[in-house]
Amino acid sequence: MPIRRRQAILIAVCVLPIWLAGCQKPGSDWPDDVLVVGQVAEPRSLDPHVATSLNDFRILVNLYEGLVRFRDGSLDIAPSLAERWTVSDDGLTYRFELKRGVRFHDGSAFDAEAVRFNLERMLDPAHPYHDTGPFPLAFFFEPIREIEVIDSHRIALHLKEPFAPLLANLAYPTGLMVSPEAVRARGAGFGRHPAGTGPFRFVGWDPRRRVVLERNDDYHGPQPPLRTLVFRPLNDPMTRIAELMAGGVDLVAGLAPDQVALLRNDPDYHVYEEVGPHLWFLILNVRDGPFSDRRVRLAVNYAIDRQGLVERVLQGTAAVAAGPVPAAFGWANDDDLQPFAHDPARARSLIEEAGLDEDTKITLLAPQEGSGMLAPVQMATAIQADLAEIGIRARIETYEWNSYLARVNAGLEGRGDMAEMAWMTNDPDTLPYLALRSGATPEQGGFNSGYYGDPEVDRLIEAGRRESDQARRAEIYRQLERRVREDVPWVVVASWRQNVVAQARVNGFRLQPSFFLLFDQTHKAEKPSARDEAGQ
Amino acid sequence: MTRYVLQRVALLVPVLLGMSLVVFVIMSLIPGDPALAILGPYATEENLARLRAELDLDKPAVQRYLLWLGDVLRGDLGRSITLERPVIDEVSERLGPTLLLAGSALTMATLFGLSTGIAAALHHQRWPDRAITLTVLLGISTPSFWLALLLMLVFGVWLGWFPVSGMLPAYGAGGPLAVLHHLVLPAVSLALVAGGVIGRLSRGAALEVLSEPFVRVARARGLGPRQLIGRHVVKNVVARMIPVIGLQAGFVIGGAVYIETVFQWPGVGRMLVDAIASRDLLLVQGGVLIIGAGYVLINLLTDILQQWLDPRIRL
Repeated sequence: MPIRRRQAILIAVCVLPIWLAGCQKPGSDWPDDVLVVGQVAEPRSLDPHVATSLNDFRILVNLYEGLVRFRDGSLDIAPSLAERWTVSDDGLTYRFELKRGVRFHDGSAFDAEAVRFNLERMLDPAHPYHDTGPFPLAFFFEPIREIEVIDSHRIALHLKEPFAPLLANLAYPTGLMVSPEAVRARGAGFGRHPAGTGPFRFVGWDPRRRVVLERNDDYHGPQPPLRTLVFRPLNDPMTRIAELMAGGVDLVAGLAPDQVALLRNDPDYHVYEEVGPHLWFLILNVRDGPFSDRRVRLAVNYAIDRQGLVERVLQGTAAVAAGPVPAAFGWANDDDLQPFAHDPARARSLIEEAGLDEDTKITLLAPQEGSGMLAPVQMATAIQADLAEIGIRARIETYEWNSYLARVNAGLEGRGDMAEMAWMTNDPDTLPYLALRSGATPEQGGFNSGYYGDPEVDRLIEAGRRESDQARRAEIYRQLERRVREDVPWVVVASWRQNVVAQARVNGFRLQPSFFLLFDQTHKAEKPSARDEAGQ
Repeated sequence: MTRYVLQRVALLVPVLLGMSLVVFVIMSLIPGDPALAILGPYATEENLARLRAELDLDKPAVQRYLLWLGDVLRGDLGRSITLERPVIDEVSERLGPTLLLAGSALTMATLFGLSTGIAAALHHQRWPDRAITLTVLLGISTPSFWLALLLMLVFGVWLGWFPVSGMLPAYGAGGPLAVLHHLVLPAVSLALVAGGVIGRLSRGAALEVLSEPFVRVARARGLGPRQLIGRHVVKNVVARMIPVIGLQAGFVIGGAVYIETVFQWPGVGRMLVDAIASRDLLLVQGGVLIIGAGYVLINLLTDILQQWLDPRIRL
């Protein structure tokens, strides 16, 4: 009897692993037209007018379309729901001609009235559905004075003043068009039951598990090859890479630099990288302390080894930046503008010239972590070492992200001499307008925390905002960059190179400079044969 | 007995009150403005002020606490500011997964701990005892966060036997079997430390029981080893171990916070981590209240169970 029992246990111990191995590996039972995406977090809202985070945008751009969009692979403006548009000579009127025969996922028609509903819902506090907000990015469309429906498929936007970034703002997810019928039916619950015109339609949102989209069979454009898109929230970075390696996701965004390095040369995965309209910089306090002297500002710009920071601290997940307009805005980029060279000798002589004491002490503010901040504490320590070489002793103060923002956005006076900051923007105007204008100091409600002010820079920012001709606008931003480089109110360091890693059999995917993930052309190659899989 | 239970249940009130006060003070002390956390870096001062007023953040902390307490007494845990839904809805949806995870981890830990402990005691000072003691010691001294990642790597990534994370598959509906399949790795990670502690202490308890006179009497009466162990030793060891198991239940619930985060298990623990990060005070309060109440109730249950198993203990 005891022997028989022992045999039974032995058999169980041997059989169990075989049974377990027989359990299907994640991903192995999915059809080839299903794509599972690993996101960094649970979405907050699928209402594009309410959403503010990249994590949400990445789902939204597959569900909805705007009047215009960013052209594939660039940040140029291309037609989308508007087939063509004209801008009046005074830059005050934008007329759009809308695509015909477009329907929202709920069956209602997309027309000029729908466009008016979308914009007025955000802008007009008296609109019956304004209370389905809040709409934190509605200020993108604040310059619109009146929305005129010319006929069912033509609409004109009349502005209070010329505002060139309007088209870029319409191409941003805040400008995506929602179904008025669905908003009327769902009210504030629309964000959990979205309906747009995009290539994929909403199927379901299982909280903490997944958001599921399905091919929109009535799509007005080419049908996407994928039938089902699943977005999974994977908050923990270790879990994200483990899921990718186990096959639990086909594609994952936002891996850490050393994780990307691990997969870069592995033939089983494809690493997509793209430098976006992002800027990582140090704000210098020009009002009080050593950085009120331009020579000291110039000295720290020569002292900081940008290439070293990008290669060693950020491990290639960023590209060195030259000026306040991110290079991703190809049309506005000044190819002749070079980043500051790493030249400690020159920095030291500038320090001497400025008569600065040996061992000058400054305060460097850094967040512990934060949206787009790219290893802020490690960056701060590396910068501290660079500054020590030219005799500037930086004391680093770190704060939790939200309290950091509150502190820095209140202005550096009395708080610090330099502060790390990062911005994602959708138009070259955004960052200079909000953070370099003399009228944008914290006292005036702006983000110019270093109090930089220059009448010429102010004039150029204003001119760039009013100029609707792209070539002339680009020239204005080139002048602006050169002027800012002379005055050095910041240490411009780098632009973020965002990554997406996919299983090698995912094809037709392209990471956009906007960092959005568009899956309308993505498809998966057939599964490798069983023998290949065993060989892995 | 009834009076005792009622007394203990009444004791819940001051315990939960004290706990909520501590959480409230800590959440008020840690830096970070909930309004800014919600509206993001683009927020204007005007919008921030409006939201702060909406959330009562402009009122003094004492007043906010009393307001919250008043609502709780009326059975209203408030609304989560980040999820925009009642706290009670969120917590009750997440309670099930946490109970499942913590419950199965505790069951595994108890079965593993008791059986290894008793087995070791029966082979006192011989090789099975030494092997079991060593294994158990390893279990106690392995940090569960490290073990979790190791199990994930070996059984999830390399062998592919179990899903790496989540509670249900990403594609398809998934039923109870799928949940079980997803449960294995997080439950084992969570169970190992508690199992080690229970194993080590039940070895001691079993040794004590085995040296008691009644065991000798039973042997003298001619009871075979199986009957002796099955009928007398196990029951006595279990009675002695109940308080230890009750204590481990508390640690398992605490450990679930981390394990749920790593394995993306949709329970109260992961909810708490997210809520603290987004400064969602009411959600944190609600989660802590539930966990605290659970902890106190488990303690009560262990006391009652112990008395039931060993009538010599008077409650």
